[in-house]
Amino acid sequence: MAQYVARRLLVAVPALLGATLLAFLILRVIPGDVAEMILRGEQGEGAALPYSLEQLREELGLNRPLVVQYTSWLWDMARGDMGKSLLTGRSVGAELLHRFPITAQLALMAAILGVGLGVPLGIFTAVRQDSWGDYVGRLGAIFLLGLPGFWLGLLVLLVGVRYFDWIPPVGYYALWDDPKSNLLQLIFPALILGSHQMALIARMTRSSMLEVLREDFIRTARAKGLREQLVVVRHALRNALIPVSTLVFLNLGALFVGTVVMEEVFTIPGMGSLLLNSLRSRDYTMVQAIIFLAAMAFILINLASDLVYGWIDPRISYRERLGSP
Amino acid sequence: MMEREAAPTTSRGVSLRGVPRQIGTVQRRLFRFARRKPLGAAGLAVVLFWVFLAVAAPLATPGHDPYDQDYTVALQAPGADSWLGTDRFGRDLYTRVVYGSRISLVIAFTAVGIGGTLGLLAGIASGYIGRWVDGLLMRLVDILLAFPGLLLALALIAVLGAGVDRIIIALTVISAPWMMRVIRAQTLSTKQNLYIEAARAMGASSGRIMVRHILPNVLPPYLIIATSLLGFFILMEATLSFLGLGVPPPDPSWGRMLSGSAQERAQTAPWLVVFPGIAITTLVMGFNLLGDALRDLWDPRLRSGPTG
Repeated sequence: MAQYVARRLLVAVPALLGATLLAFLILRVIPGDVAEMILRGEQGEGAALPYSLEQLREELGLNRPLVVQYTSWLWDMARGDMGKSLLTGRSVGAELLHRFPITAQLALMAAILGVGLGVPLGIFTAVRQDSWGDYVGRLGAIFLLGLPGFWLGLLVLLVGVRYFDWIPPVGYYALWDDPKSNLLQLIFPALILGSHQMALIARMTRSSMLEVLREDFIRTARAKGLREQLVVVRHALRNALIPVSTLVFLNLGALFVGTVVMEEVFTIPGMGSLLLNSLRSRDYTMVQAIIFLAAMAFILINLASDLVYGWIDPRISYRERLGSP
Repeated sequence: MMEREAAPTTSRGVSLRGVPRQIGTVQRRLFRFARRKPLGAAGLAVVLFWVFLAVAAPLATPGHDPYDQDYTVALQAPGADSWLGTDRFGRDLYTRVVYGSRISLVIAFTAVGIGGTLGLLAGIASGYIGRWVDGLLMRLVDILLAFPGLLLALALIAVLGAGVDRIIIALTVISAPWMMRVIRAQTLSTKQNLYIEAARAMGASSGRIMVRHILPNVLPPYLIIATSLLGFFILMEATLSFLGLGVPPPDPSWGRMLSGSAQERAQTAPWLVVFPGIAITTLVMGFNLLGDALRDLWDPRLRSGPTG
């Protein structure tokens, strides 16, 4: 196990370095003088900043050699100093801290909905394989997976406003300050993101259940006269959930990205809308920080899911999973 | 699996007698595919429908141009003259949706074509040659696959800027590692076969073995992954354009059509929100259904797969 963890960490290190390089390069590979482009813009539509060219170059450290820039930037990031927003001059770290809870809440709500609905649906369609319920459930899942999330959001807004006189609250409401506004704001985006997760999880649960239900120990359990319910829940489900749990874990990353789109549609002031607005207004220090943090988070989630996988299923041969000789 | 699909060349169908063998085989295969995988066949039909519309766009939209603005007919509801209504510039929505399929399909096919081919070649080389080639390429793949597609695309567009060519580049970067990982795994398992050893014993070069023996075996997974990627990229382009980071105006992109003014005017002109979304959904679903069916047929490990 220790050896396995060490190997996984070794694989994660180059990925982490690659991610920091990618984030670092966002500011540096843009052709021409970045400072000039930030101030003037490609077609003269640049962000009107309280900086002069020289000041901005100084601020971004652009007048030093690349290697020096990279290492000092990395050192700053490691200490949590992510610089100042080019647009507002405020600390990037503080802004992110302010935005993070709402995005995390949205992703968490969606994950809970996805697991809570997806697993039962997967069990149902597997146990009743080839019944009408199975077909309807599977078709529904395919349908949900093909629906663009942002379009579903637009339709919810369209129908909500038109027929129910409902407008999602705009602004920021902490769950503990104003639970009603907070939930009203987040429930539909969470449902949309969650329905997508549900479809993925239901499909995975179904195929995994079907596989397990064919195993010998299931036949044994039935032969010894165990109630079908117990066979399904205690014997089949416990084994079937192993691959599902990795999917759920890995999807946390995808969920966070999904919130980008939902925050845009429902004007939720989270990290996603911050990223988009920063991209649009050339707030490169902000973009850089968000991409850097997201990349770190994904790599760590990947690592954690690999470790959790090994922990829930001790049969897994670590060497085999790495796919190397 | 491939052997079974390729083997039945004996013509048994009476009605097909006299038809050139090649055509008869293709027809029969399609027919059998439709019978075994009705949903997959429906997906194929939807995809072909959109490809046909994209190719024949000028013929399918008589009397309208996707860029022609006419403020006298702005924001008209669907009717006899404009089947799906008009937008705020008076442009015919039906025409723009039809032309939008061109942009969607061109971007998706180009990205999958370039990225998929790169992934195919790299995957075979990595799997067959192994050693440092494999080590190097797999580290790169690990890095790229560590990020969800949309985040990678956003990061790349942050560096490159928006535009059709930049989206294609971003999507290519996303597709290559996916393809490569699958093809590499397939190459590794194909390499174990006795006939590879036999070929090598007969003096075949590595290049010849890779082209003649490995390549045919990795084509089924290639097609499966390519099909799913096409659906994924249609959705991705729509999402990026919707976020204002994809296809720039005035080109008719489905995602772009749903952003900005369509959102603001959704209450008075709901058709602006409804129809481009239906277009995206049907095309994405078509590719997904087709991809699922191909996976069920060709990938024995996922035989009892999730959809089918």
